[in-house]
Amino acid sequence: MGLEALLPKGKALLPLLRAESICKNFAGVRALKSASLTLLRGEVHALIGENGAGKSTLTKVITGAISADSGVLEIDGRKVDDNSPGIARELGVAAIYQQPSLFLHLTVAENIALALEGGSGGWRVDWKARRRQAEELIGSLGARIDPLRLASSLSMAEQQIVEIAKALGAEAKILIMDEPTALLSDREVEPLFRLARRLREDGVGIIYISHRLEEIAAIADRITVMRDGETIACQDAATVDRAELIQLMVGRSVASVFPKREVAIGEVALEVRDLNYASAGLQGISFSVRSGEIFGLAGLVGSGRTELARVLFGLTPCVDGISVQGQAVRIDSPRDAIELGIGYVPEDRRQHGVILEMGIAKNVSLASLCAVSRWGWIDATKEFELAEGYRETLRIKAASVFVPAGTLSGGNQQKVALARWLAIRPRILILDEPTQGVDVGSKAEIHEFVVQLAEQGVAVVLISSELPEVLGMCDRIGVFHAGTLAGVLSREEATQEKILTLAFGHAVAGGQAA
Amino acid sequence: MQLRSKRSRAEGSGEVLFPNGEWVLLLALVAEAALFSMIAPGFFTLANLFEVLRFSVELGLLAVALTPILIAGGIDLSVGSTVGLTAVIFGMVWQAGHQTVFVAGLVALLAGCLCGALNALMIAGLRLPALIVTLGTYSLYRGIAEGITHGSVSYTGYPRSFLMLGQGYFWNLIPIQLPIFLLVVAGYWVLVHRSVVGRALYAIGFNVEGARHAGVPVRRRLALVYLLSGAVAGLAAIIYVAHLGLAKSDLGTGYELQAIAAVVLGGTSVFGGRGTILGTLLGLFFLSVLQNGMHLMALPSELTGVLIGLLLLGIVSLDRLRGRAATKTPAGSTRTKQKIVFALVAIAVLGFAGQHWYGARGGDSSRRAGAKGRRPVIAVMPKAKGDPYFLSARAGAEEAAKALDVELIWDGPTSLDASQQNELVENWITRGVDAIVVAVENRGSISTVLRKARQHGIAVLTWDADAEVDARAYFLDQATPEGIANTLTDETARLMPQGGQFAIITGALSAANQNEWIAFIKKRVAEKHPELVLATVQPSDDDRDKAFTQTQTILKVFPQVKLVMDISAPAVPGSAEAVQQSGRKDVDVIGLSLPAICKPYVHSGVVQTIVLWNTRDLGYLTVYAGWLEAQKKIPAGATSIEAGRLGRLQVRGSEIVLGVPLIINKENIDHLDF
Amino acid sequence: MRGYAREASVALAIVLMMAVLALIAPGYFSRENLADLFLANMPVMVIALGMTLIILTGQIDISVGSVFAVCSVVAGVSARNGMPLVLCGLMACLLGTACGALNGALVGYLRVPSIVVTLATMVALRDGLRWQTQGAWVGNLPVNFQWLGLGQPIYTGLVVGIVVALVALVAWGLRYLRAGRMVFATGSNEQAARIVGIDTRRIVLAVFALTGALTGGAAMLNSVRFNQIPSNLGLGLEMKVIAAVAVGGATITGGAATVAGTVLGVILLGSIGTALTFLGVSATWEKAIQGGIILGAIALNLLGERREKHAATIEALAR
Repeated sequence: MGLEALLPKGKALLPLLRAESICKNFAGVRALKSASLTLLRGEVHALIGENGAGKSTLTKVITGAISADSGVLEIDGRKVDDNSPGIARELGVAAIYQQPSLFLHLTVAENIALALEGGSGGWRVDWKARRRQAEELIGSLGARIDPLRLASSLSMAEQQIVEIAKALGAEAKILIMDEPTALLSDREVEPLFRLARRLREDGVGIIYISHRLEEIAAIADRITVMRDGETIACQDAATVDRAELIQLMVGRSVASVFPKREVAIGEVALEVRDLNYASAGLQGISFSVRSGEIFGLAGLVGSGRTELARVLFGLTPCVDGISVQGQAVRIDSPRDAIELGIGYVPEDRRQHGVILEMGIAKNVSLASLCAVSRWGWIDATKEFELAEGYRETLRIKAASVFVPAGTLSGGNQQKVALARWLAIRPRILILDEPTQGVDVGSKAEIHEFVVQLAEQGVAVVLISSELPEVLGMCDRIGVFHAGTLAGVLSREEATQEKILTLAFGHAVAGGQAA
Repeated sequence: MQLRSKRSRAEGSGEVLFPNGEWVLLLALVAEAALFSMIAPGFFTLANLFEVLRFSVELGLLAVALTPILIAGGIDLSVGSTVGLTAVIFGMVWQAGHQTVFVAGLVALLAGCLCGALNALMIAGLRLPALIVTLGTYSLYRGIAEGITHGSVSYTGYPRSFLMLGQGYFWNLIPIQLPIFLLVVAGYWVLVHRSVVGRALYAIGFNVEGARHAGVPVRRRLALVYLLSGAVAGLAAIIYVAHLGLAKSDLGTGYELQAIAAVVLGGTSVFGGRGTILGTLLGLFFLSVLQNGMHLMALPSELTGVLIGLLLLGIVSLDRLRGRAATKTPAGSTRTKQKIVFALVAIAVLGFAGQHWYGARGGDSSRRAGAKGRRPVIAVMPKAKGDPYFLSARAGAEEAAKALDVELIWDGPTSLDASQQNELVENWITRGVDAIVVAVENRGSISTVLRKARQHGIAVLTWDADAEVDARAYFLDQATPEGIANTLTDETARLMPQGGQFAIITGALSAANQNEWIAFIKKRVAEKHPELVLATVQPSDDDRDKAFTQTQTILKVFPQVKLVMDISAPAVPGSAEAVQQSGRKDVDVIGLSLPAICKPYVHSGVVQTIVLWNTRDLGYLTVYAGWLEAQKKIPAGATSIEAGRLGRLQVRGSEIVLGVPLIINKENIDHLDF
Repeated sequence: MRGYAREASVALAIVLMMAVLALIAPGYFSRENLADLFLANMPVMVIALGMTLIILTGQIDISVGSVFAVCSVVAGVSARNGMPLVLCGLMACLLGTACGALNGALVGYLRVPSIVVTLATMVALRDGLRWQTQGAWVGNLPVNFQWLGLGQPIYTGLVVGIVVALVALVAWGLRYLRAGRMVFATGSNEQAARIVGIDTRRIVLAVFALTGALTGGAAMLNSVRFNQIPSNLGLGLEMKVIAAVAVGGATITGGAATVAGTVLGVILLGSIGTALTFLGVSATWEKAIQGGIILGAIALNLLGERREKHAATIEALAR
């Protein structure tokens, strides 16, 4: 299909958005080295890459949420030097994120109206018009949500629909969709695609970010691949095949990168039998992990992997179904989990993994304070030694162990988070996306440490959205789908396709894959 | 050992000692002390230092206990009320329960724990916002204290051995409560800075979710600090009771805000995560030294409040500005520079204010101190500043000071507060005045310090309300409580010849002398005027508007009431306005008040009579008698004295009698100018 | 839709109290008493409107009592110096606005915690006033000062009118003015509010300034009822106001509060004291009962919230 045919005459091929050699550093980490992207009118442009490749950073530069260190940004033919959310919005940029950001105390209609009017607009509020507007926008999405409901009463999927309606209402020329379907059910995905296609026909340029390659094949016109903060390739969607895309994204062959070694597998360390927990959305989960084994958990975001980890760590206490070293246990709090030798490196490093304002030493010792204290009195020397020891073994790059964790790069922060749990001498270690947003060097180091832990007899549960990581690191892989464990694959039988098939459940079986 | 040196090198010795930049506050404190040493007489002595410490103990205990709460991102507004409640419980168990002081102390501590436990339950257990919970308990605890004592009972008469805890000294120098305070501080220092719990609190303050994910038992830790805060408030209450010699429901009023001010000044962030015990102590001493220095310089107490407010605003604003600058330029040097600049500015402002006031007061007394024939200094204290009654007395005092050519220091607490009276007298002793004339808020608590003043050769007199007899030379008797009560009751009977119902509006339910008057009124009614019936007693909190509302309500609920008797000065105009607006011609208002504020109502006939002595004369007498006594011009056993324009006044024992209460009505009100 | 369970529970408490009063002391409902009650609680009501906005944005203001006193005294002094009454009222409002704006600027632009800022201004203003007046009342007011306040039926009607109008205006503004919705947005999710282009700092400044103006206005309306102005007015007023707003269901973290709730809170707390006198209960327990009511109200609020949240989670996961 020729793109020119869809465009109004005269404006043909003037790009809607041009980003050229964008660079961005975060506290010493290069999030973007040289990212480029050109978006045309009336196209769906997929932006793909592994986690941490820089896709989100690039979109934030475009929406003005962060400012680039260097590079050229042109929106609708206009050069934008000091981008801000306000300027971007005026120029017709709208964005939808995986995690909706609504005013929970306000109604749906108002959320939409506030987003559309922002800081400007009339002084009065016309509730009828607002309601009508909301009804129309949501209706055009093929959804039905009462505009007078409070946002806090909406489900995640409904919140996402409101987000999309907001962007729709803003009559955006450039629409960034950052994994919009991650939390939506299949029934809700199709109307969204129909809508995207309609917008495309209206001349809107859509930047579509997703890990679901099937979706991309179904909707994208062109595909830009990013890796390690750089734009690697820009391809026509019609001519590129999956294998090639994966090759481009990963940039290396899977086996060579991961340091996985054969380890003597020991006794069963953790066993989950028929775990049901409705309010965390988990149903009938059974699996076991032996010491020395690395057990991978794959699946889409929101499919229940993190929820399971939280249950195992006592953050959302569950009644029964868990046994540790053959003993049925009840884990009511993280404290209980720690006493059982369970460690948990959470997914959200900055919010949960480390305490940014505290020094490295204090972060490392936080979960094992009893080990460095006597009758509640902290032995500063012991604490220092402990942290210093991990600083050396984990090669944490910092001036001293008293430096606040927040000043470190993402990879080093993650090492601090890891050190905290190594310090409790865990028998079971749960790692939730341990290499997300971590630079390549630290990533390899973290992988190495995980393997070493397994060699020391720790049972490791590794949650990752990055399939090569799961395939390369794990002895067995459990795949989640919609709150259930869809299947467990051994290292030998696991392939990306098999994992994806399980992860998408019937959706893939339904033949949506390209 | 090698590790240790490595550590200190890594952390920097300044960071180890002052992790939160406290050295700037320390610098400011030193500069402040240096300034006062130069210009405030008697400031730079060891005895004064210990006095400052002694008066900081109760507040210090609360501030120290608040520090970990703020570090963990919480707040506790109920500490002042907890002090009131536990003090009352202590007194009750000891006096009404006939238990030993030791048992009473244990019960009080337990009660403090319970108060803290309720906060802990609601905040940590139910995860309710701390601000609102403690706002509720702030009201609740004080309310319970008032309820169980009916506001009026105060428990006094403790054994000497117990009072030593708040009034005694080791080697005549170190206050006995100081070691207790230091012990608590040390305990809290270990808890906050060296213990597992403290570490957890910082983690919680920075990031609750992060702390939870690290296995920190968030709720248990939070519960602990609130519980401890209650217990420490209980301890503070016991020391406070020993310090004052009485337990009353209004003890510790307003302490929560003072404690928070000290903690915040000490660098603790209300958002949580930052703060140190050392900082709190420095903040506390900065405020106490400020107060002490200002008293020694005889600057008015309310100026201290203004300065504290402005300093607090300045310091936290600067801290925020600094925080912003730091995010823009990561260099830490700007921050310290700014702090130093601010500290210097603050000191300069202080110095300027001091010099200005000092100059305005007619010269530098330290220069004059050695010189012979200097003007005598007479220090007169009202019960509270900001009360029109005492204001009118002040005019008389100034008149006498001018006539006698003496220097007058007129200062008192800004609100009714027995412990502040003690503090002021202590400061006057340190400053070295010639005579102290005090309107006593609480007899038991002030007598010790007045005796101390007498030992220092200072002439001590009391006015308005008396202290213990041996604590002062003379009491300026404007009228006895019984005399006032009788006059008021007789007036009531005169206005209601057929008898009937009348109502009393008092000041605060916990005001001691008003309760005494009420008792005498009841007695007089029973003995002489059985036809009168006291319908109700309602408080007005010395607030005109509340007296207005109360009167409106009384008129409706007790339609038989034909007379409202107000025994608080601001209440009379309030009641009068209510009666006037109601249009009830059959209701009279009488009371104890000042002619100046009642004049319109006396003229309009709503207020029949106000009973009062001549407050202007009384104020005149305070200075005149103080001067006479300081000059040793009142011979022992004198039966009368010559008091300037007041003429010859009778001396009855050790009481100088001003005269009988004035009955002020339409006829004579225009001749009175107070 | 948002449930009104919270307002309903406060209303229920009021109805219960009224029922008891109707049985025991029907005199409570006389016209005079209701009018008197209304006038006595007018300052709390007016200031609580502003406080509702402040709490909606997630802040707090404990300096209103001091501002109230300062405005009253300044209005009185100006009147004594011959300034026309209307100008005096305007002056009180302006002064209140200035005090509020100072608080608001420090909170909004400098991001100093509101409890610290207003604690400092509370102490500084109160003691500054004490220093200036030495406790003297402002007397010798011109004869016409009470002109409005003494025209009893007119005044009562006028104040009722003003308060009702203010309540309606704030309630309407919160719902139908874009600025009002921005107040909600700021308190609900400050980050998101900034992203959609709302200047949250200005909103914070505005609500503090407005509260100051309302405090000044209330001070003036209250002053004209009397022929003198005491200098110790408004002690403890801030606690009454905050308690009323909290009882009315506002969440202290911002984003949720209603004018209706605040009105009910003022009615409940404001009528208790008088009700106790009517019922013959000793006044000594009033404070304890108020504290109990505050705690009870927030506990109730919590229960409602938990249930809503729980329902939302279940719904979200059961898709």
